[in-house]
Amino acid sequence: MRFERVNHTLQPTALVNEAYTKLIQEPHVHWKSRAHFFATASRLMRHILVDHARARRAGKRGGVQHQVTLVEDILPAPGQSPIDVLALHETLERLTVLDPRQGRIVELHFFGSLSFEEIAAVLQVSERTVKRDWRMARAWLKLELSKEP
Amino acid sequence: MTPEMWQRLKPLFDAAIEKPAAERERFVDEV
Repeated sequence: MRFERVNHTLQPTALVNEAYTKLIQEPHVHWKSRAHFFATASRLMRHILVDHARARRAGKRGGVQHQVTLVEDILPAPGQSPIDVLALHETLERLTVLDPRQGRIVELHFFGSLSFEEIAAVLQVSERTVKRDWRMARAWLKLELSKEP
Repeated sequence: MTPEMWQRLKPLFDAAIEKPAAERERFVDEV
């Protein structure tokens, strides 16, 4: 994952383990391709993180309970406040409505930790297209997440 | 913002971001 967790107990290793456990518990899933697997794994990672964030929010009412500090330069610079993973999830939903491919690129890169080269192979587009889309998506996400709630 | 507007913005964003930072504002003003 392209982030470090700072405020809660679900470490990246545990997240990968949880995702892997869920994936192998789905014996009926027939992986059509490498792309299918990565897309599913990335979606699963995202859902696990969001579920944990919601559970924490429900358990500790009020305030931001589930935050991540992103290693990727998508969001806060060093020294800035970490972001709320739920806010990222919701903003990404809005981006996906505007541009489904950009939404998938962010999900694959951010939650699935796929490189731009791998994403290009998954989406069957050029790496240049992936980088261009990522650049715009990152700028928009950064702007939206910087707004006061 | 609509998906249609977003698609129209994409090439403009790409063109703007390729320019040196000092020229971007003028470029956007001229679009």
